[in-house]
Amino acid sequence: MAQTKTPTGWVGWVYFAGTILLVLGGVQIIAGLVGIFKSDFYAVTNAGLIVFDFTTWGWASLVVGVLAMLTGLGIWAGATWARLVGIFLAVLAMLENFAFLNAYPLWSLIGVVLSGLIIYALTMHGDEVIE
Amino acid sequence: MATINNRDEVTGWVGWVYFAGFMMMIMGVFQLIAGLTALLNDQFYVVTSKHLVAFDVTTWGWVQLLLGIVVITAGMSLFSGRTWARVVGVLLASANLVAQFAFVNAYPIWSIIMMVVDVLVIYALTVHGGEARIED
Repeated sequence: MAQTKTPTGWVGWVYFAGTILLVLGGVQIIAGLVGIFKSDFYAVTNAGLIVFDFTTWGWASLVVGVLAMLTGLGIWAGATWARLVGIFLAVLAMLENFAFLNAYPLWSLIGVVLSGLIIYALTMHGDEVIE
Repeated sequence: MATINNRDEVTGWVGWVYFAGFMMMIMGVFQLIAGLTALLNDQFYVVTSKHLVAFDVTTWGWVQLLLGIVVITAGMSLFSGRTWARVVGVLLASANLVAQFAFVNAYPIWSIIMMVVDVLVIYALTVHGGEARIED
C-alpha cells in the first residue's frame, strides 16, 4: 500500500502491544512452571490432553513466555523486528492456548484474549512509530 | 527508545488519563476488599490454600492489600500529569494483571474484573497517555 505512515494520536498502540506482550510473557511463564512442577493443579490428567503431556506443554509455554517478554522489551526499545516477532509469537501463543484449553480453560481464555489484543495493536497500528 | 513524532497538543482524548486515574483508585479498593477478605474471612474463597499456584490465601491477602494501597497512591499521582506517574501506572497494572492470573482460581469473577480494569488502565496510559503532558 502506498500510503504515508503519518503518526497519529494512536501511536501509543505500539507501547500498548509491548506492555501486553510483557504481561502475556508473565502469564505464560506461570502456566509453564505450573505445568512442569505442579501439574496436579490442572483440571485434567495427561490422558485428557489432545497431544503431548504436561511437561512438554509446560516447556512450550515457558519458552513462548520468555520470548514474549524479551520481544515486549524490544518493542519498548523501538525495534522494528520486535513488532514482527511480536505478531508471530502472539499467533503462536493463541494456537497453543487453544490446543491446551481443556487443561485450565480460564487461563487459556485469558491467554487467547491477550494474544488477540497484541495482534490487533501490532497489525492495525504497528507502523506508526518512526525510527 | 524510538522517537515518536507524536502531536504534543492536548486533545479531547486527554480524559483517558483521568479515566486511568479513577480506574486505578477503584482497582485499589477492589484489592483492599479482596485482601481483607483473604485475611479475615478466607472461607469466602472457593478453593483452599493447596489449590493455589503458589503461596497460601493469607500471603495473597497481604499481597492484595499492599498492592491495593500502592495502586491507589499511583492512581492519585496520575492527576499530576507527570510522566513517571504514567510509567509507574503501566508497570503496576501489568504486574497486577500477572498476579491476578496466578490468583484467578481463588475467586475467578473478582480476578477477571481486575484483569479487565488492568487492561483498560494500560490502554488508557499507553495509547493516550502522551497527551496529558504538562509543560515541563
